[in-house]
Amino acid sequence: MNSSMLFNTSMVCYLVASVIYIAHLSFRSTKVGWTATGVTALGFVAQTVALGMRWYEKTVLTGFGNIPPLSNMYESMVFWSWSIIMIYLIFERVYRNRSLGVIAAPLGFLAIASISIAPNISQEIEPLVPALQSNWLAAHVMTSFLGYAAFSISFGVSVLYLILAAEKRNEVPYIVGMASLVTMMTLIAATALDFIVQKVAGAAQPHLFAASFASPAAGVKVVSWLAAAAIFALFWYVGTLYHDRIAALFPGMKILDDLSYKMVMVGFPLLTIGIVTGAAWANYAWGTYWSWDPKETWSLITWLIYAAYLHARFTAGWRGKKTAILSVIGFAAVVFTYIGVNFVLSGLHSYA
Amino acid sequence: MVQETPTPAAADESAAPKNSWYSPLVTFFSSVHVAVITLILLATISIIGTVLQQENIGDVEDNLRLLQQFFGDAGRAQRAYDVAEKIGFFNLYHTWYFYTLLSVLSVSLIVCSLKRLPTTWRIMARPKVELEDAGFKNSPNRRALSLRQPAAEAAAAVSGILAKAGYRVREGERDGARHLFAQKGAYSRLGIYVTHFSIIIIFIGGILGSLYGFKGAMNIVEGETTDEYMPRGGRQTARLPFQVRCDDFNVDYYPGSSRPKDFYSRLTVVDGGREVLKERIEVNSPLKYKGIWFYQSSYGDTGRGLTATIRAVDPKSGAAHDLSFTDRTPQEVPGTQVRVQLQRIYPDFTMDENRQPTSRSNQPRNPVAQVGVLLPDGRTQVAYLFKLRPDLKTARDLPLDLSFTNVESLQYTGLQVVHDPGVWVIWTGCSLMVLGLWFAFFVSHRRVWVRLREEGGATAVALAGNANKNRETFGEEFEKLGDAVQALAEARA
Repeated sequence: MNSSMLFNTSMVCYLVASVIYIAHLSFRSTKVGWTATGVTALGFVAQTVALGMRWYEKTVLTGFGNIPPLSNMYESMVFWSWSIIMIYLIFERVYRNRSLGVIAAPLGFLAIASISIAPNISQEIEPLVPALQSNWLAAHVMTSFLGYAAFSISFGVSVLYLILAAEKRNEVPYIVGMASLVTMMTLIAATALDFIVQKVAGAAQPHLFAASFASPAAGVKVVSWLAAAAIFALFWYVGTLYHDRIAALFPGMKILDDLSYKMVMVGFPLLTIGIVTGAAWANYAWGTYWSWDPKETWSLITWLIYAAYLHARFTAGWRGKKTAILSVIGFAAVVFTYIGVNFVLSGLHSYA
Repeated sequence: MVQETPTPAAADESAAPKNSWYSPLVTFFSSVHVAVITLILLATISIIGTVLQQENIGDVEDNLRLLQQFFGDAGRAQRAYDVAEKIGFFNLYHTWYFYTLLSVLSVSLIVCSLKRLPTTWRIMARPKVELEDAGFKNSPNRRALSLRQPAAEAAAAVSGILAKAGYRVREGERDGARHLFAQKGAYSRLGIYVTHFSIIIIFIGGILGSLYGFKGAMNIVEGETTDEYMPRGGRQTARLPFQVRCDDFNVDYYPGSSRPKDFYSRLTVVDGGREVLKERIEVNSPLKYKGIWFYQSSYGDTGRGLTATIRAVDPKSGAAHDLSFTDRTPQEVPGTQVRVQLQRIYPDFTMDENRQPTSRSNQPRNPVAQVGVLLPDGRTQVAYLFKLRPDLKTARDLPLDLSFTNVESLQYTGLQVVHDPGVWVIWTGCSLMVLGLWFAFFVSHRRVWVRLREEGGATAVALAGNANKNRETFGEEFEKLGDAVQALAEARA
């Protein structure tokens, strides 16, 4: 028994829970609902225990017991997934509403699954370089990622809002919402395909999505893109046809709008604290609280986008579709700050 | 949420007087368009700055390669590079236009806040104590009930209930009825101003640091004392008002690996010829003296003062001897007639393209000792001893079992020297920002109005209330308050 087995357990739980949450939406059965919550909670407990075990394993290896396992891409992604599920479970308990499980469980699954499968991302426990041996690490990473998780849920709710609030197929908010939804679904499908190829067929893969979009075979690549386009076309078409029936499954539009905003309201101060603790740490480690490193700069841009969201809501009175689009843009910035910067740009922040 | 939409009259009142010299400026800086355009420009510049390598952060030369990829033509790439360099694209965050945008943003923040502040202040400090009938009728939270107590007695009891719930209560009178007004969390309306103000404070902190602070690098060889450092971006060394000595520098590696686990320096501050402070510093644990901070940032090998220890074990007797070398003088291993000579040290051993041993760097990542074993018959055998891999044997039939146990040479410690008087201002600003956000988002301004009017033998009580955020929670609280007032009636009956 080690932490990665438990991480896999939680990953499977979140995938199963996603399906049950969808079933719950369709059948409205309390029993199904409780099963969905139960499976999610089981996954969450497994993941929590796994985090604890990884912490222990890491302490044994590096000798730094005060530093939680949050020091590379793999560990932070696992924590992101954990935070999303935690925030969702709190929400479910407080609002006694399960309909958003169809958003949170797949997000939680996607975060942990893609990182577990990505062959070029190390899951090994690595020794800590001296720069990371700091008590600031926990404060900085935890607040940043709890903020990211809140933004993720706001994004999911906003996508739902954009799709459900649509009156016509050709309006921009609807297309933005559908594109986001289909992107998410395609990513899940591509991850699942990688999973099948690696774990079931036992083939080695050089990188993520090698079984689909990034396949060395041109044919597979073309088919993948065509499939993604077909899914988009289908959803885009069907989304308005069954609009009323789908909308009836979820809490009212005003509640969705309010939820998306509440999650930004939770995420924004957390991101602020994440940036401030990062600056404090940098000042303590290097004597420079702000060095315009790409990661820093992108976190600032993300912060500005959410600040714009809040101002649009309070001072300009924006509601509904307009703020939902801002939330989608904000989340795109979050993903770029977190993942994109590491692959596209270079800088100090090479750990995660 | 934070602002109640000001009534047109209130907005006019708080705006700048018409026709004064500064009214166009106020209009300009309080314009939403100006703020939005400034923010978009700042974001755009920041994004460009993350794509193009910036001075002091990355390697500016990389930009030429990037432009060549983009244009696919060396001549055009070079011209674009020159233009970009001239307009400051490789030092974007320090250009005049970036500073101008930051200034516009600051002024805009101040003007917008000041413009809104009077309205907020009025809501907080001069609330309407006596609510009109319409207010009681239309409030999102309301309750009407009847008490048997006389109005004065009832008012005191209701006031007590509100005070117990943490409200500050004021009393008033209107049209022969007693009025109560109670509020809590009013100060939370200032949260957003604190947040805006904190951004200005952070800017001030940054300006103070760049005006009155300095940053530089300092390399000190073990055992040496210096007060010289190289200012960042400078060409000439500068001097500190005191001296620093590096007593010792060490690197610890993770077992069986060349990854540094920890590197640390023992420093002594010498001020006016006296040793005033001794401290061990490492990454994440700097030294501070007289407002100047010393951060452990790098290290290196001087190649001077090398000492290597070779352990020789005589396989016949099993006796082990540690031989310590500082030069190439051969040493005889006691009890044998064999002499050992340290010929060369490769700190970071590798093989070059001709399969000759060489060192990749001066860092002791993979130290290898090249030793000569001088046999009694005059022959010499050469062996390479790997410090990290004692099991590797490169020479056969050696009369001794040799291993490379230790190597030390004079190292230098690389320190970052920083004096930044703005740092505390920055932290004050950051704390205020978080505090301000907390009050702006999570503390709500809750208000309750009560009207008590004597009618016949009883007192008609009307309650109304609202909160500027988190209204669900307030709704529950209001119900509880209403129930408590209701209980007064039952208690009397």
